[in-house]
Amino acid sequence: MNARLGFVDRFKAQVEAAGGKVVVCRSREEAVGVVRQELYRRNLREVLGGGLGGRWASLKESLESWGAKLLETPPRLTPDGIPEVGIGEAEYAVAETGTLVEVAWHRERLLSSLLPPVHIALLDEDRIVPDLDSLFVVLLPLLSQGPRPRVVCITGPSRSADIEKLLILGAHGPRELIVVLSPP
Amino acid sequence: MSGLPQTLRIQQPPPGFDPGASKVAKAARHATLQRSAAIAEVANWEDLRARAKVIRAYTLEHIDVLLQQLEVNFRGAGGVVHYASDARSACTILLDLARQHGVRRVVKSKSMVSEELEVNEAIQRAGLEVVETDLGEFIIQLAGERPSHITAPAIHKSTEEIATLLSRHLGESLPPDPQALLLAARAYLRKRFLDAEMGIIGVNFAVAETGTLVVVENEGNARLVSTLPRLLVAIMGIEKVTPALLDLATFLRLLPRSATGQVMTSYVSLISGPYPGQELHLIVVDNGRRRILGDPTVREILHCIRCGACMNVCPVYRIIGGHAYGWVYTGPMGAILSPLLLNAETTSDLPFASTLCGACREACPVDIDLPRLLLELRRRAASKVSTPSERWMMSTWAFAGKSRERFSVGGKLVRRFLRVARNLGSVQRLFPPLAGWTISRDLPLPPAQSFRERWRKP
Ligand code: SF4
Repeated sequence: MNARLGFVDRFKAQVEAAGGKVVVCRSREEAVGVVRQELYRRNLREVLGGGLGGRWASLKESLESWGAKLLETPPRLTPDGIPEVGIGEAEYAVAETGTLVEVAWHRERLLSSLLPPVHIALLDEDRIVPDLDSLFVVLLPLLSQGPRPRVVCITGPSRSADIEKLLILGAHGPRELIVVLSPP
Repeated sequence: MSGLPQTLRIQQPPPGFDPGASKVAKAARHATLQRSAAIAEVANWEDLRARAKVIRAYTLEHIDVLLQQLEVNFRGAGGVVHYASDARSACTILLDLARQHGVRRVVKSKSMVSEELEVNEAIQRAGLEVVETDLGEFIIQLAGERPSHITAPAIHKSTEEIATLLSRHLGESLPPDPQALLLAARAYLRKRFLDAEMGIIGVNFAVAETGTLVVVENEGNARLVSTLPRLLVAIMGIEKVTPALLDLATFLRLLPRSATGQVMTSYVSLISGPYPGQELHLIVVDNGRRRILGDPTVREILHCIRCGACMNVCPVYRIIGGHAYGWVYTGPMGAILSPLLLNAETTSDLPFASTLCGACREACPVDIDLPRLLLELRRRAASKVSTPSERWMMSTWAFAGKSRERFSVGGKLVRRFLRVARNLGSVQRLFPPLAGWTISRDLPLPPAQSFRERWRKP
């Protein structure tokens, strides 16, 4: 890894190489604006955001004041009951590989990055660790005792090359991944 | 075990088979190029391989302690561990669980060991529905075939064939366009995911230290299988265990690059226990692995992390394709693992399906000495089946070949003998014990002089 490249630059480059998009924001307010913009652009009033932490209360308020609903669970667990966009928080990210890491304590938390065709991931800059070794050092205490969270590492949108090796983004999971990066 | 081959033989190619243009060859070459590019940017690739090899060897050396540790930690996180000695007991455990939970519909993500155990057949025999959800596996399940490659199960099928197959099964007319086919399959399978009462997943690594199951994938189907149904069953071979969480940093750098040339796959799930409201079971399967463990000269094959690199680079695999190997494991790795797992009483000719060019070893991310293992299995096959006269001839050949004098004197004698035989009209039909050689072929007449003799005379 090129030491002169900061974690953020490396992370961004790797996410993009994996087919995702990174929006770097200078403040949390800007991040909230970016999310609103994405929903507005798609003309959406419902978004899946199960288990979004208290740190993002401002996002919830902002969306609600605008008339959009942040759903904890999909309205119906049927193929047409899934909102177009899911918003999730990434607890960590890995610069080396452009990987987002979600730590989920319950099932709802796992759905927003999985069921909708578009996944918006909220990430704090200081949560980017340099490499995979650092990630597993950080995760070890979480996975060592008591009830353990489910951890999902996400690198780019879902993909398949099962038909004649042709790479297609958007297999069973999202076809679009947007990382909204902001200062803590 | 019903569908198992009695003897592992290289299967005949179908009529009209054109190796040069085959999809398998093209896909394998493509994968090899991507792999080379992906590992070129890793400065310490050889160090990583060496480290992985050490971890795998340590694991096999301490497998009982590690499995015990895995069980304790998996249980501590709220999961249940079962042990199965063979395919039958594994399927029984699985079906009992299904029965207890009143399961009717099962979704499954890709798992080589479940192919090996013929889990789908068992589930269907019990009257339940089981759907493969990896796109490639789904396609070949509809076609009623077996995967031809471990990371790209349907690479032998053309887009047109897939369109016909999916159109027939999904009841709508689909164009031969990969994007459209994928969308149609996604919609069809989404419903299956949401309806299923039970999910079955394979496991890439199982971390003893934390009781964590690691699932590596690109499509997201393994995530759906492990998240949506309330009953989740994971199946793993005993060799999938690894001591420490930090080992994953090594394996996750090696596996995606070797398999598909990716820096990282789209998803890596770390499943340590069920989430609230879920029930999680792990079936740890032996099915012949302990026998291989107890066989120190060949146990190295259990280091395999199933990346598929060895088959992508293999010149023989590229020409004959995956189905020719006759069972679930293909390529150089399969040529070694299959006969050992099946403990085929009858001889197996799989280890002979190799040119021993060494490309597989070079590609292997955990540095398994595949050519050595192939040679060892050949030696065993030879010592088992050959007749005394064949063995006598082979050892005479070896004796002659080890010295230049003996070789040239021997060569002279054989050439003279064959010329005499020809004059007696017997080169086309040699007499016993050599008759077997000429049943279906003619022995070409050797030249009067050896190469050395001609070289010496200008
Ligand atoms: S033997 Fe090595 S190269 Fe072949 S599949 Fe296993 S790990 Fe990969």
